[in-house]
Amino acid sequence: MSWVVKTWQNGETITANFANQQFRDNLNVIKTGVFDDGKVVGASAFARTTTDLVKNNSAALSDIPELTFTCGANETWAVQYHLLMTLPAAADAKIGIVPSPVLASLAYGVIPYDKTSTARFTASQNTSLAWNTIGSFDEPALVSALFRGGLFASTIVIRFAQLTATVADSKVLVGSFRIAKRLL
Amino acid sequence: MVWTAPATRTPGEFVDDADHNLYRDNLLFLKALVFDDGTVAGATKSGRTSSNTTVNNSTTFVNVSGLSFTVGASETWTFQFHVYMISNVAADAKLTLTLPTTPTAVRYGVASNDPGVTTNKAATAGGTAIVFSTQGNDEFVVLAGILRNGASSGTVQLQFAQNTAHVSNSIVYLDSYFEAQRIS
Repeated sequence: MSWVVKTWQNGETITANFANQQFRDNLNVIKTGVFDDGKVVGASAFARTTTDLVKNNSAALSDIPELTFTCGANETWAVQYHLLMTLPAAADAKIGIVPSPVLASLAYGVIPYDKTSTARFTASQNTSLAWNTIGSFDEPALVSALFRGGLFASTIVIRFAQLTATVADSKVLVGSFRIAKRLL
Repeated sequence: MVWTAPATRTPGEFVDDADHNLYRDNLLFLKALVFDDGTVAGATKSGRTSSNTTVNNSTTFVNVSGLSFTVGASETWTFQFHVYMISNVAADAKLTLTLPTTPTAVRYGVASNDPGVTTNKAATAGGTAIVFSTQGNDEFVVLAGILRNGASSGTVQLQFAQNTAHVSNSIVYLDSYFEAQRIS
């Protein structure tokens, strides 16, 4: 399908060919950039944290509620979580991504400032990724995910905890953010 | 091109060439947001792998199906490939990009905590191998860069191989993905 520009002349007959070209095909060219629900293909959806999430002496995962994301039925999304963190060395850290209900598929990986201890990515919908931390300064971590929705919309939470329960504050800091882009 | 509020027609009204040309100009106004291939200006073009790409006992680069995008002449694009992979510790792994012929400039590099990069953390030409020292665990790598294309349109394609031929499966997994943004 190609875009055709036409200048109409006074008294010109609107033939079926011209009508299809100008009123149908040109609109369809523009429509390729817009999903049926009116969302723009490739546009970004942002969210950020407005408070710190603090974990102290706990290895139980807690939601980062402001970064919760909804994947619609049969939709595919590429999502990056940019987490700004304070991580005591003895506690290490772990994150998990949990959809409800389960997605058709999910994959996510993490690139922390410090080294991961085992796997750097997972395709499991009920697991977590952990890494060893240094603890001498605030650290960033990139969590990159691809979500493919199933028959129903799914609510997806990202969760955080200490890997080893330690009496010290481990934090996901205010200003952490999420960028999501819906794929064709 | 400016946007003119669409007219509200009344029964029996005569629609002339000027009306059609206003309609045309409003379409052109919207069309400026969408390139001819359906990519929305300033938005993200994306794709994903729908199956695993497996290399066994080979150092010959193979295309990673689904991780490619087309680039027109004289266009400028930024891109990020999010790659979930695994490779035996004896095989290691390498990534590269093939590009349109004679680009004006290209620069790409990798963000990876582990596996470590042993050769070429960044590259300024298509076909340059970025080599990883893999650990045999699931790995996650982001390869990002910018391309200022020359006179030839073509394709940016991610390629993958073992760095040392080894009888084992080295895999780029299903649901790896890329994002690309046309900036001019």
